[in-house]
Amino acid sequence: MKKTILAILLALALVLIPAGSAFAINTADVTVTATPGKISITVFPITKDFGPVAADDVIEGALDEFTVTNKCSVDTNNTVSVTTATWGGGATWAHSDTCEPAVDTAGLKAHLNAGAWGDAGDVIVKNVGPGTLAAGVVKKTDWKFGLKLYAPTEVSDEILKSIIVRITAASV
Amino acid sequence: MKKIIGLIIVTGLLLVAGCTQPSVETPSPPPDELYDEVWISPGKVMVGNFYSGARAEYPVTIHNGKDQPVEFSVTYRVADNTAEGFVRAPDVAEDWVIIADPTPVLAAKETREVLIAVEMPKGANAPPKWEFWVAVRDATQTGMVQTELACRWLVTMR
Repeated sequence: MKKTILAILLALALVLIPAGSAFAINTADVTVTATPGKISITVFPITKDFGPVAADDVIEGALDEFTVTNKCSVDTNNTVSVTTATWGGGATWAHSDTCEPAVDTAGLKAHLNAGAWGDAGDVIVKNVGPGTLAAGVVKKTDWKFGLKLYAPTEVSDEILKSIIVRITAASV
Repeated sequence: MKKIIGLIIVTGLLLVAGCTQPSVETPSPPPDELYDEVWISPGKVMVGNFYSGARAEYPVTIHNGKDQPVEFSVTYRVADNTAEGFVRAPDVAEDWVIIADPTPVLAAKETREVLIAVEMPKGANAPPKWEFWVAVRDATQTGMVQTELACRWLVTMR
């Protein structure tokens, strides 16, 4: 009888213990941990009208024109980019990632609401390789920025052009 | 002998009780301050001891604070900047990242997890420390200026 009971206990042990051990062996090597925190920003306004644009125009927006409402629970870095390589509408404009206007080629810069256009705070808004606009922003601290357009040196038509500017927030 | 049999029965009952807890209704917690906002979490995922042939996964939680359903876009993203000691993921890493649902549609005020997995093929190479981002954006955004929220993934190889 004792042998039977021992056998039952042994069987129970074999059934229960290896399941946990096998799991541990398969997963112990790779570790995955996450830093708690919520990322949440919104921007206002969401539109920008540079108005009628002539060749060679450089149009500066106010540095506090756009407000980013920052409800992140962690400090963040924020980058700026355009989502396409061209400006849509009529004869499309190419977007210059070096901010060097040319025929039907425009550029954009962004600047935080500190300093002035033309200083070290100018950030070229690129399609490839977003630029850092606001680094180390303290959690739950709103911030502002402006945009500056560098119009093409020649334009093929007078049809409205548009491009999407994207602000990306990521944990520091 | 009866004691031993009794012990086995008690042990069995304890095991069963441990596996099947009765459900207890708890009051819903009050909505947090971001209830009406769009947010993602976590901000950062760290993978350690990774190696070719390994898989790691972690969900990104998305909350739709709007009053209407929203389609989100969940995509792999090259890191705009990297943590100290880390470099951008190799180009091929985009193929290693699996997003369970790249275009989830969340109902108003819904919170949902989307599983992200990194599966590095056997024999593949990667720098000792590399970083990529998982970007989440509200695909219904209109206007010239839009926002995107990113979850950083920092991978350290074995």
